[in-house]
Amino acid sequence: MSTEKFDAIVVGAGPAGTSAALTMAKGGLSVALIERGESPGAKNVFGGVVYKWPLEEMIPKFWEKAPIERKIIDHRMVILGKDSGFSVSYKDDYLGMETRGGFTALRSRFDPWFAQQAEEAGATLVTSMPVSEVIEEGGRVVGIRAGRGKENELYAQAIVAADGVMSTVLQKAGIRGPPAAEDVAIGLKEVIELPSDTIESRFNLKRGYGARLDYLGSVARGKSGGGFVYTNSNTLSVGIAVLLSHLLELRCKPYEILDEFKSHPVVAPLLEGGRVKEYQAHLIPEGGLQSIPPLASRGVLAVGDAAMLCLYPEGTNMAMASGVMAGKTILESKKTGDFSIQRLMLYERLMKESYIFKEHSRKKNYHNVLTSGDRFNTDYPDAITEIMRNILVVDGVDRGTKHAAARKVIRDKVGYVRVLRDLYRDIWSALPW
Amino acid sequence: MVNPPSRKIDERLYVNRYNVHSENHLHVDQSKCQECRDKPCTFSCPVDDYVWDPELKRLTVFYEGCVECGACVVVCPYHKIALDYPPAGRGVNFRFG
Ligand SMILES: Cc1cc2nc3c(=O)[nH]c(=O)nc-3n(C[C@H](O)[C@H](O)[C@H](O)COP(=O)(O)OP(=O)(O)OC[C@H]3O[C@@H](n4cnc5c(N)ncnc54)[C@H](O)[C@@H]3O)c2cc1C
Ligand code: SF4
Ligand code: SF4
Repeated sequence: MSTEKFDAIVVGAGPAGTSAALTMAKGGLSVALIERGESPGAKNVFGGVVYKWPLEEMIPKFWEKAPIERKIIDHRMVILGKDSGFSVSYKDDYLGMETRGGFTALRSRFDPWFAQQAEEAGATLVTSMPVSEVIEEGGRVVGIRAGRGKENELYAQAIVAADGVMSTVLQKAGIRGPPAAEDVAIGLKEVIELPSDTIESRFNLKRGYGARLDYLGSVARGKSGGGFVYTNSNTLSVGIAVLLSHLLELRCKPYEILDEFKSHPVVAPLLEGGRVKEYQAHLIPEGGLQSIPPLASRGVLAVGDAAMLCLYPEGTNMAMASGVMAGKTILESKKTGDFSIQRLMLYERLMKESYIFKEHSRKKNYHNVLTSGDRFNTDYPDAITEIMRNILVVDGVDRGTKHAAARKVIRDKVGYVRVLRDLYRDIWSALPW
Repeated sequence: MVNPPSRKIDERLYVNRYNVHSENHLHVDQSKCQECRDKPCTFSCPVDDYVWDPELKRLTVFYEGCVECGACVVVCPYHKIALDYPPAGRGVNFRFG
């Protein structure tokens, strides 16, 4: 690669970077999309659900051609007790039409397909190229370097940092450091193979349609964590996430938590007979609003996980939406020929008015709930188990007495005031819906 | 180096696809490891890449199974771990992801 100059360099061909590159390439800009994996997706891990928005805005009717595993029609939320589970589920074929309820995907298939759309629009995709340095001039980043020597340098008018939660670009540019242990969870996932018929009968699904099961409560030994089982065509994506700062308190290995989740009596039967095909791990931004770094700084626009925009359970859509806005910002700069740092601040303004910031503001208490919310991981699950066991066992004790006992459990384990406060505020930060 | 002892984690990792690079991409400055109380790298890594040898008083780093997640960098209280991504296509290559 020579020392060419592009309108924009996008580092990272994940959902954020590819969205930015696609948006700019469609607008006629010269864009380099740089990826460290030998193909996009080779280094990437996620749970498995991609949402219709904003992908559809970039690729109308994508569901006719994208590598979709299953269209989600069944959303189940399960609160795990130690040996029990309390679930709420919503199933609706409407959600399966045009992937309204999202779809499962595997990154090694989805990311290359998505990046190909950017290439077809005119972006230059460069794979197997880990960016290791940024090139600075007059207080702004003007290029990137991958390895040593001039031939590994690239220059552009604007740089998009789409290189994920450990962002090399933002760290090298001094825009943020590595994330703090309170601000990231470690996610572990196994891809477990099962025949598609088995998946359909076990999860009560029609061919091609899928379920997502999100588990809360007693997943990570009383600490903040969650689990998931998502259905793919002929595999399940099964995983857990636990806040790194809580893992440090637990002093246990993250895969012990995964193994406990997989052998939980509510989860294990779903996986029975399956063969593990891959074992993966990745960090997940969980810091919420307060962890978002400067979005437009020193000629660098931060998008997706690099900007810590992931907000459980939505990450890919936040990444794509921010990528589109960064792309639009740079398109505006190109139109006016003004790539000044001030002009690039448009990105921050667009972001502040967007779905992303509305959601982050709504869930501004999320991080607090995660770090201090033991009641969500222990007290509530325990209370639910105790109450449900008592109520569902018909043993000659009248329901009036049992309901009184249930009220006592709530009072003793959590307290009415806290329940009310949680219902009013914190629970909406903790739930996936 | 002599063959590393087989570890339990290897059973878990054999399903993954790696294109192992000849050089270790995990750079650990071990100057603080002895005084590091919990040695969080030794339990936080999802593939057990860090093993403390209490006799030699040093870490052995098994970079071959690394899935490049970054957890070790985040948890080291002395910021002594640097993860330099392996070059061109090396390291882990997820077949599913
Ligand atoms: C276990 C788990 C479960 C999840 N479940 C879901 C889910 O169900 N739904 C959802 O929407 N989100 C989910 N997420 C979050 C989601 O994966 C992320 O929010 C999303 O992938 C962010 O996209 P991104 O493009 O910003 O970053 P990434 O997807 O991380 O992409 C970054 C890209 O940059 C490349 N890169 C990194 N460094 C460099 C470098 N130095 N040089 C060149 N290239 C580089 C990487 O190889 C990668 O391709 C989950 C995450 C995890 C870990
Ligand atoms: S966490 Fe850091 S200081 Fe502690 S043992 Fe590991 S590398 Fe050494
Ligand atoms: S990057 Fe992840 S897998 Fe690799 S050594 Fe560090 S913690 Fe282990």
